[in-house]
Amino acid sequence: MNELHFGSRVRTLLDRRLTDIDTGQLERLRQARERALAVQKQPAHQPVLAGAGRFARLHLGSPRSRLLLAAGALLAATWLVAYWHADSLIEELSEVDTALLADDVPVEALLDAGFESWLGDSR
Amino acid sequence: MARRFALALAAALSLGVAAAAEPGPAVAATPPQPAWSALDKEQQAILAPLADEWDRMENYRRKKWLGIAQRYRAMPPADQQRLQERMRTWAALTPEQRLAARQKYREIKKMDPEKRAAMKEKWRQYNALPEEEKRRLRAERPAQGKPSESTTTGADRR
Repeated sequence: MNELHFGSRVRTLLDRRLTDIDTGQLERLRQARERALAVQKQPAHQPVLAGAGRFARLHLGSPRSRLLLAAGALLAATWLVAYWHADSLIEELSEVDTALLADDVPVEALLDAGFESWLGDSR
Repeated sequence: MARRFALALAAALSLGVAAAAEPGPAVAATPPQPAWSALDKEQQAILAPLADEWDRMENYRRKKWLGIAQRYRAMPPADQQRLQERMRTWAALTPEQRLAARQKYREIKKMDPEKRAAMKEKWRQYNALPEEEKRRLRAERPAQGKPSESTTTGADRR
């Protein structure tokens, strides 16, 4: 008896036994199948943001993560303050240099040590 | 954990304080500014005396000159001409010389108009002195451009 023949014999025997199952057994089998289908997990589509929130809850919930997050925020704030500070300094320099370079007092008069000395002598 | 957080907080705060107390590095951290070829035609015309050295300038100096170019547009023609004539000379000064000139200029700006006019007249008279006399006067005073550290700021040196 080869493998195919054996399979065919098993199928014939099982089909024949199907007719022997009584109505009560069939009903229990049907109910069991329906219960199994009812509890089967349905695949659900999660929004991206919900996924991100879940990731944050899982990975940023630890004290170490919160510490890193706080340090990062502090560094970002420090960088912003330094940027604002530099910006206002450059703005101030730009204003002074514009006035100085356009003034009718020549730049040489501001730098000549001899003139400074002469002003002192002639006061 | 709280101790480690406090240490991290202190480190970050000290960085912030250092950035505020030392304007030099903060100014040096200016974001990249446009190259000469990226300036518009009007900016190039105003800043023409700086064309050769523009691409070698530090970012904070480019930003400062762009601010000057912005103000230039609203100036009377006589002031515009003076400013442009002095650009190259000013850019060639050392940071210490620029610092000294700004300090002196701030003093002059505070003078009343009569004193200011008198000073300009004295400058005219001084220029008429013989070179020998000027050299003697210069030798009497220590060279400009070496002001005391206590009166300077990092930004002024730019």
